[in-house]
Amino acid sequence: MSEPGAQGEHGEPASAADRRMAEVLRGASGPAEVRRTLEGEQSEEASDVLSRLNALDFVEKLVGADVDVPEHIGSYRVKGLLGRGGMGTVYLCWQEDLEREVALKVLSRGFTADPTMRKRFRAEARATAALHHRHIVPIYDYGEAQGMLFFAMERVEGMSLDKHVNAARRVGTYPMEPLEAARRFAGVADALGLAHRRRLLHRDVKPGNIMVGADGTLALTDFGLAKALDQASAHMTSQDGGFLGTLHYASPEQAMGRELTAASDLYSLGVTMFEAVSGQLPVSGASTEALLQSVLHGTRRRLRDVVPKPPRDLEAVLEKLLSREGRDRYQDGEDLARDLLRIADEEPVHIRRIPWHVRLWRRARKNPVLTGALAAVLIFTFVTIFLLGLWSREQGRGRESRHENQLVAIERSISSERGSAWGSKPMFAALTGVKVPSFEPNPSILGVLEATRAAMPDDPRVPAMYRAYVEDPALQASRYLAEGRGYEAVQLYDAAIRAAIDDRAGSDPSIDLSLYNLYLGRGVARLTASVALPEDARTDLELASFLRPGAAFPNIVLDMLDVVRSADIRVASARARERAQASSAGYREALGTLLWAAAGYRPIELSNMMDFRLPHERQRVVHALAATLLQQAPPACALHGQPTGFAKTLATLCSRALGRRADPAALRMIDAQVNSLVGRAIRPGAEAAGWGHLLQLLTRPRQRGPLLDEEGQPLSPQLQLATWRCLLALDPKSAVARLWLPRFGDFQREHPGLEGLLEVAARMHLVAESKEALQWSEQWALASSRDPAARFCRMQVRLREQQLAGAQDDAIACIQSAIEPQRALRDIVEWMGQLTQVLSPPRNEGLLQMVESFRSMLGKELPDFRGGK
Amino acid sequence: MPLSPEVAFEQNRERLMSVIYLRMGPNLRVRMDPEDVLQEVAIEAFNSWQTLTEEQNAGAWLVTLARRKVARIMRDQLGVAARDPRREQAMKTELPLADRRTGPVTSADRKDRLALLEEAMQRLSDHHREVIILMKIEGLSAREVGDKMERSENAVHLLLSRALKRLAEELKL
Repeated sequence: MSEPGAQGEHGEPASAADRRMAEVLRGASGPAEVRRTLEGEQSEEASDVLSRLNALDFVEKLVGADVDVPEHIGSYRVKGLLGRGGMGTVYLCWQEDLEREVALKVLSRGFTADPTMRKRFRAEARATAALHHRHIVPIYDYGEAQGMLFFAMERVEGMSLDKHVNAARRVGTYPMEPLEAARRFAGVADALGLAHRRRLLHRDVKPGNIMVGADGTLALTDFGLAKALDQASAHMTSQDGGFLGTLHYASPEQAMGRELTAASDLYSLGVTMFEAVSGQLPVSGASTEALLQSVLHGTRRRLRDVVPKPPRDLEAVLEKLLSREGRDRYQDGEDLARDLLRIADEEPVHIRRIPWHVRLWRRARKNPVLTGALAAVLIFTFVTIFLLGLWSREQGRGRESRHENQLVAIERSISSERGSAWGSKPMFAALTGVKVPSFEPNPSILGVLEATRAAMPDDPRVPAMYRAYVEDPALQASRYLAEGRGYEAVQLYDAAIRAAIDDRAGSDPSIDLSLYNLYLGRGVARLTASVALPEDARTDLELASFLRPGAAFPNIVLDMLDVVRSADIRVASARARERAQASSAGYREALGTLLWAAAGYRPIELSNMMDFRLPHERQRVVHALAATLLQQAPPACALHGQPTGFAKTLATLCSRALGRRADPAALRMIDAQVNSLVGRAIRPGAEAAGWGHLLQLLTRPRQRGPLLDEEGQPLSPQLQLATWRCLLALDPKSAVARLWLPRFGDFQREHPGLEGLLEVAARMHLVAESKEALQWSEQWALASSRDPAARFCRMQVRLREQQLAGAQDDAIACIQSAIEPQRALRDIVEWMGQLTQVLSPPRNEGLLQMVESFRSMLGKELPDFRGGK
Repeated sequence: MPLSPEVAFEQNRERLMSVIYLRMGPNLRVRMDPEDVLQEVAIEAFNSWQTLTEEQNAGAWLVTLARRKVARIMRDQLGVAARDPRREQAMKTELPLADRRTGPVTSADRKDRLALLEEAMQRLSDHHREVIILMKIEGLSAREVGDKMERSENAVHLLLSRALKRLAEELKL
């Protein structure tokens, strides 16, 4: 009845339920209140409205209730968000009194309301705070503010283990070497041991609760919280009917809701370690129910099923940890730590395993069907072992294992070889324009590879490694990259990465090496002006760094990104300086040059790095850091804001078009050239795409309204602004520039608050010698009073308006705040000199004097202007 | 302290995810993971944060960004893919980004609920679907929805009320 053909049309009469619900939607009555009154009623209308309320609830839950992010929590200033989980939110905070960064975990309001919960939570927090261990993230503070329960932890630089595992999974490699994992986890096991001695269970050991520090150290976090929150989570389980938390890491007794012991934590640690070594979980299931079944009754994967040739002892330790019965596992974290360290040092471990007949008996008792299968498997295993033994004796086992070791050794030396500070051949040059000596393969590595090939000529991995080491895996992409055609390069790298991942069979060091080069290449390509996706670039560089931990170049570029994109640039630059000073001279020089280019001072005109548009203050900091690292003034620069690299090619084409505006045939040809270059080599939406739209300004100077894309839709304001900026870079003559003023005026009015608009407006009106030039240059100078470019612009306008005193002030301020004062002085003298020639003699007298006084300062130590003019 | 883009994004993360998921539809989702689109919206929001004039409009602004992003992808993917195979391949090789923030359970749960909602909404009339998406997913006001759908505010509320009835039936609530 309620489904007529004209459902929802204007004329349809509204039922009582329709109207009642509409009232709730209008906000006239609260949904909770309506629900309460209706729940008592038995009418059809009531159940109708209730079901609509449920539907509303369903949709509203989906979009999430708004999260309140406070500015301050107690004496902590919130700087950002680190993560959100089931129990609460972790903020990055600044502790104002102690002036340090901390990670502040704030519990969800739902948990804070219950008084017994609060008491328990406080007790647990106290106990945790008393745990001092190198592998436990320390708690600094605990408290309550604005009704929020929170505690402050040390801020660990690095990522959580689950992210580390995910990164490895995405590149299809193993997160950790087995022996390395044994060493790292020994610390965590020891930490758990300490906690257990203090009668504190963790209850939620999983990769998300283990932090991987910058040096690879693991540290447990969120200690003891699970226990405090136990009550609340039990409550939530009953409400939603599902298991809350991560069942994958839960021990069988935890999954059953039975009492937990120290061995339960160690079980979870075992699962975590299994995942860290293999990238896979020992148990899995398609649904929660299936997962629960396989935790309780299923068979676990063994390490050797997922990792080729794992250390036998490690496998035994994991098997023991993952025993279904708590009593069969390790009972003490310290014992586990001791065994893990022995494994890491490749010493034998004597694990007291349950005798095999006991295990068999237990299993047989539980599942008689399995008994037969087990017997068959046993016989099969014996036969296989016998055959394998024969085979390996024939092959010469000693020789084979030496060969394997050799391969690992080669991989290590490739990973940490010197010269990696500049990346592969085209990469550094693509960003900075500075040519570096081309990458030469290390003769000693080549020698070892040759010897290895001679010893084992049948192993295809050796020539593959040789190729991966010597050859560029995506030659055409590197060529594009060298020319600054980032977008084309990115697309080729994409395809090559996909192909490399598809080719991988197991862990293949040669593919890891190619992948390293590919990710690095794509990361660099994404930092070019043609693409300009710094966050994506960061992901690529992190993956590259993960694949070759010894290589310096990805870390150098990441350091550069950290500095220019940090929230607090002073802290970031201090950190980068510290790290650089602990590194090689090559590292410092490369980082310095990259920073120098990122600050907008392109060492030579071939640089293709994206423009980070740093405000002047930040530019100064970056520049100062670059100067410290380079220890001498960098080479001559292209002027800030001038097109360099690939953009310069486009600028040359466009300025040819500007010169031949009267020749439609020539314009069409140039238009086609520019468009094909921009279309292929520049990401749509990147700032450099402005060049592609510039021709519509050049060909139709009198057109009004916004700049349009190919489909006639207005371009984004940023892209329009970028196009105007490109126009200014061509340095048009004033008479020509005036043609565009009306259209530019439209744009200004349309987007008054656009970032960077003031600068473009001031320069546009200056070039066009318009009456508004003074007004706009004033506004720009006011908005960024310490920016020398703004002062320089106002000086130019004031000189033209004969406001000599004001112009002199600006000139002095410009020199004072310039990063390179002598250069600023030279520019000022040059501009003034040009103007004196334009003005006729009686009008230029004052100006002539001023030019002279500035000219006399050229090449000398500049006076301190602050004492007065 | 002014609102930072990170905070605004976090506050609206789930809403944006829903907008992207539903606006993309199953065909486009095969080609691109909504999480990746969400990441791109985040990046775009951070980069053009300055163009936001009023902080209280941050939510609506982000939703607009997300809608535009999906529209653009739709144009690029469904329109251009046929013409340029290289480009399509480039999209396929795009790897998902690292930070997923929510754990596997909650994220899967949300996806399930979204899939459920989408399936139910496919059986609704266009008007009903649109009014739910505009008002409850994208968070437009009744007046704005009214302007779009050429109805009065009252009519919009009535329409939504009826749409919810049908939705409840489809979801068996």
